[in-house]
Amino acid sequence: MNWWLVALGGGLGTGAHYAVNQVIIYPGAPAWPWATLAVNLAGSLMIGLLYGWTGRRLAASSPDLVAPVRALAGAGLLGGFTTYSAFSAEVVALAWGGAVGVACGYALTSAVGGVALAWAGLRLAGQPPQPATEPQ
Amino acid sequence: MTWLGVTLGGAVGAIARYGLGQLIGHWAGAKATGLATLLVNLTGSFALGWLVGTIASSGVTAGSSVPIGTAGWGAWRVMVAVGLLGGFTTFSAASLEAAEKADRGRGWERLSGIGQALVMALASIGAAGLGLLVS
Repeated sequence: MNWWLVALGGGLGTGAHYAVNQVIIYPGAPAWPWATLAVNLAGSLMIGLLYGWTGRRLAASSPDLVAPVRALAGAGLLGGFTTYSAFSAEVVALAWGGAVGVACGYALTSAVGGVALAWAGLRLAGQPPQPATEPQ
Repeated sequence: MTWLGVTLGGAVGAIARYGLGQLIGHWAGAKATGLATLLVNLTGSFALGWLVGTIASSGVTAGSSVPIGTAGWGAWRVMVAVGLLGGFTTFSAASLEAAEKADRGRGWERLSGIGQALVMALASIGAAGLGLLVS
């Protein structure tokens, strides 16, 4: 069943990525690739939140749902939404066009920013649930 | 029509990535998740670099010698580049695996997560450049 969830999520996520590409149009090179940066950084934060939440709260309340939810939302939706091929091709295209500084800045912002946001997501959503009322 | 193609390509790409991950996980164990992500991102980057190179040399886009973005690419190329390769490769999993590595570490070991992300980036950029060169 997880295979179908990955396919469904992957189709929807890739479609959403294409929609972002339509909204954020690239001006002529050398331009900062905003659309790819936006989907990759947003997707990195969201997968951190997803894995933090499923690993802590969902695993505690309904552990059978962890794998299908991660297949649909993680491997499917966010895997399809984010892209590595566009990222690396854009870095190469920027460097090829002479904008080596822009290429390096874009590569570092994506890679380091992605890890930092995924880690922040894991930490934010992976905390144990707070008690509803403060103990007196 | 392009929308449908991108969505279908994305579904096929995601299934291929997931299947490769399952296969490598079955063959090399749970520690190989990072290996599967590296493999899909390297091959997907190489393929897109090659595709961009064929478009640049066929003169589809005017101006820059290597185009950024997919303006004037046509439905089939967008379906493959954004749909199939976009669905096949993943940035979120790469960030997550690097963040999990950082999260497990203590003190300076946390920086190894950033190191892992930079290795993935450098290798994939190299693969895209290689694809462009051989196109």
